[in-house]
Amino acid sequence: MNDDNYAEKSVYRVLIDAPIETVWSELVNETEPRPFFWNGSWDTPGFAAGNPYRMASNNGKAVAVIGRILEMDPPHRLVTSFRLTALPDPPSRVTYTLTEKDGGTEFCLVTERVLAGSKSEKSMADGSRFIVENFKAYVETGRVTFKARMILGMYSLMAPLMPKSMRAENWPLDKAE
Amino acid sequence: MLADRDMDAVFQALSNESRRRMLDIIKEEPGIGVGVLASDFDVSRIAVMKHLAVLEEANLVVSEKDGRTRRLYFNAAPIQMIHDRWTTEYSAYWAGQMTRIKYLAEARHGDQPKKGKSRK
Repeated sequence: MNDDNYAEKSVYRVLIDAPIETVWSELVNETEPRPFFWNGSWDTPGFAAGNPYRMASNNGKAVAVIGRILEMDPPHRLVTSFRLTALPDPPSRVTYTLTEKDGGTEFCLVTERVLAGSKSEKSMADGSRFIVENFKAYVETGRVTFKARMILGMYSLMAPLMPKSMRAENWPLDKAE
Repeated sequence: MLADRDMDAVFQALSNESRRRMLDIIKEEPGIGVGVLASDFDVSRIAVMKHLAVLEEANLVVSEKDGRTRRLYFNAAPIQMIHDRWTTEYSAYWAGQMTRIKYLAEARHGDQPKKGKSRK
């Protein structure tokens, strides 16, 4: 597969009014569901380069994303491979960078190696906007935006309609690419 | 939510036709080099750089060095936040619809005889 199959990378950036250590610890918090990741929880043997991870939701019954930690440089940079379990597309790459700026933290999400014209491309563009906006709101105010709370409410109602392809038993950590 | 001063910067940046056109081009061609972008405009490269500085200050454009080229990317986040500030009422409407569907579905479910399982 040559580079022409991939969309050009996309960049999503917000300035978060909080210290960089706070922003980082919220990003990689493994103990509580992350509302800005659709209430998914990190499931990984540890944040270290080479380790696999899953984004578990719905009380561990569903896995929305699976991949590997490719780079880990706290509190500045986390690079992951990223596969949406609901779609048949190959893994892409998601990079999160944190930079101290104007007394706050610039948070940047970059998506790369996304198959051009795929459902993943659309899903990741919508999703990335959701993540940066709601990560900012969550770190600054303790909760995600009103709109996001509505969406999360709908998701919890629709949990029984979850596609079979997302069931956790289909995505053991050793399937991470 | 976007702070008011940040929102001012976004609206100020968007209040200029050339800058809006630059955003159109950058959105269509992510990673476009500054030189290539400048060649699309009749004004001097310095004028283009000034416009780009305003767009970057408003966080609408993110630039990255790639060797000798500076590559430009459209950042949708500020516009997303402005959009959401004034559209939450619609979201509330849809959430209301979803709640209604939930109640209907539950009522329907309650009507059906259970097989094998005992009721809670």
